[in-house]
Amino acid sequence: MEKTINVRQASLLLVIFTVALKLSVLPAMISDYSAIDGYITCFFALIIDFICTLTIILIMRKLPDTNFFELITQAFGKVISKIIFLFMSIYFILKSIISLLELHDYYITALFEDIKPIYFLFVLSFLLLYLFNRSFRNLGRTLQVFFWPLLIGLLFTLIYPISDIQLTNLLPIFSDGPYPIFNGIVHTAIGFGDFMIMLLLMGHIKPAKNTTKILISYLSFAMLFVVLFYICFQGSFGATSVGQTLALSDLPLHNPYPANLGKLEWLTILIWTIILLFESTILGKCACKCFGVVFNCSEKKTPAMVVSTIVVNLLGITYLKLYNMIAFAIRSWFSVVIFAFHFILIILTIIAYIIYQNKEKKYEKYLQENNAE
Amino acid sequence: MKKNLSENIQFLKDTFIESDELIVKEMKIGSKPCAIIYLLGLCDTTSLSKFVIQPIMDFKGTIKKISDIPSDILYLSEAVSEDKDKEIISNILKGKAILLVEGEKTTLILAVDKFKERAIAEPPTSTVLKGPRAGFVENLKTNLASIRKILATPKLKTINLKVGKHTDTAISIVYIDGIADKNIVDIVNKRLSEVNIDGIIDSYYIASYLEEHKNSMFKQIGNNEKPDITASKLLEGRIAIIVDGSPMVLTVPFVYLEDLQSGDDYYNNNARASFVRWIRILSIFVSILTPGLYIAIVLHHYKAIPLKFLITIVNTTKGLPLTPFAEILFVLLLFEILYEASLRMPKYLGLALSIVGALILGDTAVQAGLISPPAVMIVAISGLTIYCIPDQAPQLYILRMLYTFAGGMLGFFGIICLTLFLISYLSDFDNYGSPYFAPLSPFIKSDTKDFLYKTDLINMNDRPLSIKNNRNNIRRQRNGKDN
Repeated sequence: MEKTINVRQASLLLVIFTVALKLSVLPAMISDYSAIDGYITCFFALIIDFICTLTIILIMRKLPDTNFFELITQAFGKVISKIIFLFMSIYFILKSIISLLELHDYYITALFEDIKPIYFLFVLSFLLLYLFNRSFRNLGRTLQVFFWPLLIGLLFTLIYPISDIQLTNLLPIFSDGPYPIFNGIVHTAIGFGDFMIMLLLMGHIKPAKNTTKILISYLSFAMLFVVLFYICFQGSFGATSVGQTLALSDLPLHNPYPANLGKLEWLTILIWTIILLFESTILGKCACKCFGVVFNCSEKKTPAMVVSTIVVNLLGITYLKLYNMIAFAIRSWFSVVIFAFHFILIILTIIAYIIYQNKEKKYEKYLQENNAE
Repeated sequence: MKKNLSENIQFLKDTFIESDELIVKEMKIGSKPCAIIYLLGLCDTTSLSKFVIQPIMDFKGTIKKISDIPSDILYLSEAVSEDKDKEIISNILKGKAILLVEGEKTTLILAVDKFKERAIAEPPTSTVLKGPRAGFVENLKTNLASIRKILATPKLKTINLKVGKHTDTAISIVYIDGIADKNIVDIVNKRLSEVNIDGIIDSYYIASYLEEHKNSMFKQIGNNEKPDITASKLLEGRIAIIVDGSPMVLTVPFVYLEDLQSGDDYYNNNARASFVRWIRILSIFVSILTPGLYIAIVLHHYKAIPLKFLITIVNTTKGLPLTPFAEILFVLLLFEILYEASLRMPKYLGLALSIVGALILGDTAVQAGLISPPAVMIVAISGLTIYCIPDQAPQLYILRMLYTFAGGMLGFFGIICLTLFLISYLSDFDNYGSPYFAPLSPFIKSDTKDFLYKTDLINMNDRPLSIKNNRNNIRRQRNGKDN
């Protein structure tokens, strides 16, 4: 098993996965279902993600040299595993398209009113093809260059709104009972499920001293940031949060001080563009990996070409239809499917791990018996 | 060579036919006829007369073997026997004299070559305020001696090669045994041995043979003109390649951020050196991004500019015949023309050129309403900052052009896409086993001590991990004792 990515690079990929897709349209969506308990909904959804991620990390510790595809294939056989990977591929492509649509929407609304679709898609098709063809190691390394500017920029966007928070917008908690929170978690499931990246990184992380600690600390930091952001968002906008669909740039705009400083929201737009591009790249890369296993592609180029073509074409078809896509993603039946898919996948991974361990034990027993003879 | 002296002389005369510089001086060693042959102008005739001809003429005894001549008769420190025709001819061409003796197949190569050599001086491209000022010259032996003078260790090894069908240029691969990675030495040796070229005029001729990624626009081979810099690179585990006839020494592996370092940094206050490094990093961004960002903002994102500033820009760009994109391209082109002309023009015309370029062309064009002052200012800032890192200038020019187009076509989105592509490309770029964009990507904390900032030498205990060396990374023990 080729260990291509170090633990810090893996942690950064996990951070981007956790932060992206949650700071733009999602806060307003969650507020729609959970009203002023939006930040609590986010907190619980992240807790679920945290538990799932922790489960995968623990499995990774036990099986450091086994990747996810091997684990599932050995446990469930080729046919069932390929069906699972195909679904995963579709899931990643869908999420990648949503993040790209979000990027485009953000771009159009915030700064580039007259961007021509053909330019946007043309540039994106080349960039995605190139990036999908890269390894996780390369994506991790690239992220290392961008990480500190992104982090400083994101923290900067949080500093000013803190003074704007009104506690009355956050209280009382559980005012309508637990149902709106549960409803919010299920309906916005497409925005969560960040543990999925860890599944694909299984078996590829170079062993280090404190792998678990580092991964958990980065993840906790990212989650803490997201929760704080939701508190800032809810605390600043209160009942009007539902209408703030560009949360990240709406926050600095809402506060008079950064507005006086001049164009602070531009910083967030640039940061957000990079984060969303990264997110869609990582998702696309995950889709390529699954696609490659499903269709037995030994090299990287073919899956990268196919997935980038699918993504760009679907992006063309759904062009300027972000809200239609989101409306589709939060439909009851679809969101339940996504929510269930997250759970099924984690349960399947645990089952696969148990089966794998049993097989290993049997094999060891068999070897011992043979040696004894 | 044959045993007959006259036949050997005739062979050499035939070889150097139509070369009037070939001098054949026939004489006798004791009673044995002999001849000294050399090319006029390449040979130090004073040394030849004093240390070779005079002793031979004074010698009255008999010699048994030709190999006894250097020890018994000549006053030369370097005289070696040679019997291969090709080597003998090559040595004559390199300025050495040869001694042929009747009845001997072997000849003596006499090291009396002397070229007029430039004195060791401070190289114009690497001037320093503090620290050693000595630079390399065009002689391989002198350059090697300059390095040996600093690195007085028997572990400093050299591999000597001859490359070039018609130039037969001497090349030395220099490394420190035990620090440099032997595999890289072997790769460099193999690549240089396989070079099939008519001639090597300068070290840049072989740089392209050493590059790992042939189609990349990024600099992959380090170069410098100073022995102290080369010595420090060798101590970090790099390999130096010295080419006879070139004052520019090449080093591998090369990482992108190497050019951010300057000789001055190591002889200066650490805080100041760190500050200057950040200025250089900032210069890279300013040089490549400013024209692209300006066009992106003016063409696509004018909302990003605070109102007061926007009014100023609108007032200065009102009524211009060119679009902002064409305007910037025009000013960039003008700047390139001025730069090229100032390089080629005789020095005494330089002042006139700067007056014509800066005052007449720039000022008049603005006055006439052909270009706007912001465009001139943007290009001037960009042009100036490129020369904070002169070694990176060629690729920064190309990147600046790419960013200008990206900003003009797609605004910030284009700039971000291009940045993402470039960083991803550079992060995947390994050069002789060393990650090209290290220590940024992959992030190597210990190496940032001498890249992103400059810490005290006492704290630099390890050799850079980004450079592939033999992994004997301890530079010195932490308690200060020698390792």
